[in-house]
Amino acid sequence: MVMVAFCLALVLVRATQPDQVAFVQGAEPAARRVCVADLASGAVTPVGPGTSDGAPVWAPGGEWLAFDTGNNGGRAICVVHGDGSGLRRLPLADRSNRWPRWSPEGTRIAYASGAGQDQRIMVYDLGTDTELPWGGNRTGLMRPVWVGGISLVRLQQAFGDDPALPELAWQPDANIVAIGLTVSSAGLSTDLFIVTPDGAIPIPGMLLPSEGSYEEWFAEPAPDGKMIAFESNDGGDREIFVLYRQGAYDVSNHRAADWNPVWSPDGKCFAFESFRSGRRGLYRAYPDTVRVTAIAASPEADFWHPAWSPDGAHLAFVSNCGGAPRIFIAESTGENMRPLTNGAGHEYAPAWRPTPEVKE
Amino acid sequence: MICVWTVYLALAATGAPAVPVDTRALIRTPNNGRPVIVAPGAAFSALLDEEARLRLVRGETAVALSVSWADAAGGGHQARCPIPDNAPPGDYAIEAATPDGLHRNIRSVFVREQFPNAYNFAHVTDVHIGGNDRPSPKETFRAVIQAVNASDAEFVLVTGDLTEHAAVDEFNDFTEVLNICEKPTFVCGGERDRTGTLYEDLFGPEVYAFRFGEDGYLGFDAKAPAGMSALDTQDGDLERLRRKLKPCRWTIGFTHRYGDSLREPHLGMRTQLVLFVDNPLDLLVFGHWERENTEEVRRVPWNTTRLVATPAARDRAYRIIDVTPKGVVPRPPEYATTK
Repeated sequence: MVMVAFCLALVLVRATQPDQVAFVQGAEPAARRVCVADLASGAVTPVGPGTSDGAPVWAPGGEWLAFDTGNNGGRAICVVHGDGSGLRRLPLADRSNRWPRWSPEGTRIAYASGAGQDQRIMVYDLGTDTELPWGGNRTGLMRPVWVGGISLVRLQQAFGDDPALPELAWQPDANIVAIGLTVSSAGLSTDLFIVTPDGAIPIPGMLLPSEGSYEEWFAEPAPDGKMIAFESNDGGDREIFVLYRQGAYDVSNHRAADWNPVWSPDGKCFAFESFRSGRRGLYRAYPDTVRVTAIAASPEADFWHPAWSPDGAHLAFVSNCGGAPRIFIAESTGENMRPLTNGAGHEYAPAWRPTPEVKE
Repeated sequence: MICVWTVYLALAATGAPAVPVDTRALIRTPNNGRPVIVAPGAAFSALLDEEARLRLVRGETAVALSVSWADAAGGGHQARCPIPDNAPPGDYAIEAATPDGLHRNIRSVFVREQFPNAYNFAHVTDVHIGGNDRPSPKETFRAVIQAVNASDAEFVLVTGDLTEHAAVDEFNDFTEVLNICEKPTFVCGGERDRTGTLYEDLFGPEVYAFRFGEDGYLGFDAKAPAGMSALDTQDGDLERLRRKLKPCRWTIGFTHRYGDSLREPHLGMRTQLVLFVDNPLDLLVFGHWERENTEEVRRVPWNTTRLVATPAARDRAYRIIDVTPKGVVPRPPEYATTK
């Protein structure tokens, strides 16, 4: 039954699907709930259980949402349709699960399972209802993202250049990049890891900006498969670097902290958060020219958590510029900003529903 | 709002203001858990629901404030309040006059002429008002505050859990005892205090910073529901406030609980990167371990920030921490005497 539903989601969807934005709503953190707003009608549909729901993530075809939620002191992973039907709490082995991410084909979800140094990457196959560990015996892995296509080839090439690296059982369609915690006598550190079902190894130092010990976080592969954006404090403060076939370079370069890159759908630029205005603001960076432009920033208010519309023409984001945090929609330049809903605020983590893939 | 009314009625009773006081929380900050310590000639910020005429009141002394107003991020009205050069040192209530009444926050503004180069402060944690301990946590808290009053601490950091169930009566009891403290009291709630919105209604946002002389202090919530610091404003607030405190001689964080990232998944990775990696705190004081909490941990796993845990006030404990040009040095825990 479940397999049929997920296979159907992959074929023959020529849609007249309305623009929808999933988000988290609620003043009280313990009762926050995933909702879906319809941009045309303004209707807001609660779809999550409302037990401290986390940031929602759409499946590539827009049929399903995944998010983590509170579960008797732990965190469960849920999936649900955009209209609130089919809500399902996945039967996972560990009680603490976070950061769900859909695989490129939309039938598997990767997430971090466990706590602290015991965290490992798990992959749940919704077609077969099975949960499998990835990364071999490596623990301390978190915040997985899938990489496929050209970026996968480029990573494989880079790994192939270094004969000292152990062989990994690369998957032909998609593998995972995750953040790995490393413990040494110098203390904790974080690194970027490539994760396959049988193992996990750090991305080779020759690909990173420098060989020193720096803390990486928040890796995001570009949708066109050419690059992976990630954060590092290499250089003294938090910057956003872009990793490509021949190495990594600093794109955001500013003495204020730069965070949370989110690629545009065409992969030509990414939106990110920076404190260069004095508060948390939104900016856009172009890796090819290293140009940075402001989207929404002010010394009086915060702007964060950008999410692109499927055509790249608009952004949804959160701001407290009018009081309680609420979601705004604007053109990708930041112009014509308007609230997503007529609600009282306390809205977080927007995720724009992707346009379904059209398969003839 | 009924809850806030009740608590403020209790505050009005215990604080014994000399003039009629409206019970609405018009003045959000400063307050008795989020005071300001400021020198004559310097200025502080006040956050109010609406603009009002402001002054400081202490017994028969009143100090008029000539303020400038701006809209505040997150809502409300921000007043920049310069302290007149001739304002007498002492602890003041801040009072707001509006057409519909008079609003007063007691123990909110502490005017002092000098900030010493070397001083100490007290850390009190895990009061747990409403718990089943004998003697009651309220009476034990009273004994601890009296002991702190007898010390030469310049101010007190009070970290959660302040209450057992975040109930109105528990907050009433907590503020009743807090208000016998003769020193500025900076509170920071624990997860038990934040099951509703009463904590923030009373004291303001969990994440905040203040300066004492050359040093910076940063209060934050280490036990927000998992992942919420990433969704909400906490990560951004911590980065912004930590950056503001960067020029300080020493920067000291205070929170209810800190489980290192190996065991405690709730302190978000972003929070850890901000506080322990990119601009490391010099010291983090916290509680939570309660009866087992007798160890001093030298460093956090990121190997930069010193970590100091204080035993619970429900066990009569508190700690004095010395701040000198050479460093920040915690003394062993001390224990108040109860009847």
